[in-house]
Amino acid sequence: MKQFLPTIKLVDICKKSNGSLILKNINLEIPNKALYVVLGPPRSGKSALGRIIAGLDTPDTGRILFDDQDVTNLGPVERNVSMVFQDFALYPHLTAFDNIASPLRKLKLLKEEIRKRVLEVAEYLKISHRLTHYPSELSGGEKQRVAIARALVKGAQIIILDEPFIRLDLKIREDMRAELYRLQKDVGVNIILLSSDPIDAMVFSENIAFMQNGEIVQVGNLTELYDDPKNISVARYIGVIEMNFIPAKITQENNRKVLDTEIGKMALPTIPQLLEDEILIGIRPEHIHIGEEDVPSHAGNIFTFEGRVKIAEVIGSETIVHLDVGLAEPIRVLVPTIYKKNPGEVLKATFNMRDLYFFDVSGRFICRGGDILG
Amino acid sequence: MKLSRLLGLIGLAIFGLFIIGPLYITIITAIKNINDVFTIPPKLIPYTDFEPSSEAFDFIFNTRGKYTFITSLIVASTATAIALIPSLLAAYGFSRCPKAAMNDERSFFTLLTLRMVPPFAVVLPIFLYWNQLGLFDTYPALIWTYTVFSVPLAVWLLKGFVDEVPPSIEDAAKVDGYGFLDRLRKFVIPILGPALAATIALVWLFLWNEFLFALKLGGSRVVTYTAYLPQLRVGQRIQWNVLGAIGVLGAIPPLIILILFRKYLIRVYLGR
Repeated sequence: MKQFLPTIKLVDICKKSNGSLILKNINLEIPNKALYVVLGPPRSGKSALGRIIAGLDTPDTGRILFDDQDVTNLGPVERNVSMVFQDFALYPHLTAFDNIASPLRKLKLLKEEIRKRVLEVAEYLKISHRLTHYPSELSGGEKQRVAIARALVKGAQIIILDEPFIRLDLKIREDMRAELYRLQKDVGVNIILLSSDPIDAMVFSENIAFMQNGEIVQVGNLTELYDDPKNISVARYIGVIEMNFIPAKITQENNRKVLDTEIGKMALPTIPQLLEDEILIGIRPEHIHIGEEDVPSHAGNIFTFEGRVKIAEVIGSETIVHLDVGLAEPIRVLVPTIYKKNPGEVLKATFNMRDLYFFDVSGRFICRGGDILG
Repeated sequence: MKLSRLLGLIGLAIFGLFIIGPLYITIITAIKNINDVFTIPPKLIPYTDFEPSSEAFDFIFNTRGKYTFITSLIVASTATAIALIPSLLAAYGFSRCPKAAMNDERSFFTLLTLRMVPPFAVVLPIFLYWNQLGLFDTYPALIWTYTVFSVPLAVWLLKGFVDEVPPSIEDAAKVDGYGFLDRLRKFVIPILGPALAATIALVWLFLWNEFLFALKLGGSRVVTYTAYLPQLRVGQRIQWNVLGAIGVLGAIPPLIILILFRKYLIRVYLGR
């Protein structure tokens, strides 16, 4: 079922709902044959955007182009778009087979043709043995597969998945992510994944758009979003564990500029002009090391601080150590092993100042420590 | 036995005395001959106090009495069927189109208040309407009046049920290419299924039991079984046993409905 896959272009899309602007001037180009992740916290406007791309809603202003064809006023069928909903939206009164057959029945295909295509897609998604069951008899993963099969069966050019994994168990999520990846490669369909789970961005890392408050904040691949986040929200969201933020003041000390923070003073060789007096520094939990032994070689940029263990949570084979350093929030440190520590113990922790992120007080990203330290 | 349980049982017993007692009396009255009805003290236990008789039932089936049930059936069923379509559409609109013109709490409440108007307050003008139109004591008059008074109840019940159908299911149907009427016919209505049936049953039940409009807007040509009751007298004597028999027969459809739709009617009454 090879077909022509369009590039989706959103031009100046605005949408109001209940008096507030839920999409603010969205401009976005989604490449074809891609698995595209729109990532953002809940209520950031992802679903509204997905519905507009699907043709379920029309924007108040702006246009949607598939390649150069204006599809703004076309419905989902004319656009040949399918959507998989967060709650799967399976028809409860129909069997899995009839659910999948639903879009084909509307196309008035022959009975044998419908049967053939449903069985084919069911086979591909490994649900052939569940076709006579009703949705209420299916597991979460199976429901998801039926919903994807229904989206796939009519040969849509674009499939939009709205929070597809949020209702699934963790283990099933992994399976379904792998399935989605396989699907995109095999069928070559355009997949747009609307997600609030940063793990999705890490798994499908090529094309990510980060949305917040109805705006596209940043577009890029995972490395770009991880290394050069546009603002605090992106930095906070993209990461295994949320980044630590520490307020800092730039002061003068012995003719050197120094970053004065709650965890100590950091001397930096140069501080660019754009840095204001008060800034925020960010450090990722995976960039902090506990213990003095394993200080990396280029020791000149190493900063050491002390903190009192608040709690050490073991997660799988890793541990998140929460260190109380007198800030409102403890500093989170990711230790890549099972690391048992009792609350109250005082630990030394280090990080390389090259790994720091600098933000101005409004949350805008300025630069990395590495940019200053050379 | 705990005191609270004991008090509960006593409460139920008092309550039951007023529900089950009259029911029992109605049923035994229906199987008495007319002379056994008027004895003092009353004869309460069949075969011991009195010999059961089919006199009342024979009377119903040998006179126009039997047709009054058919009239009730026609009037209640037709009115329910007619009321259902606008009610379903209105309920759908109230549930799914919050931004539509006039869809606000006020209009929904206004609709409900139509249900709260005491029938006595409006029955005379409605009688005059039909009289002016030359339709007094005809099927259209009673059916249409029933239809109008059924819509608020049906809308109110159905809105609650439509609210429970996830909107995403309709979005999915839209994505599959189904237009509005198809979505309603192939998805919303089948999913409502039993809830819709319960609504129909409840609306029908109210009409089946209706008395005042039936009495005032019909009475000689169109006679429902409820409107027939006041006519049951021979001279000064009321045929209590026939009244009882009509009561028993009239209670059969509600009983069937209650048994069939118990689950849904409980949900309706408990507000889910």
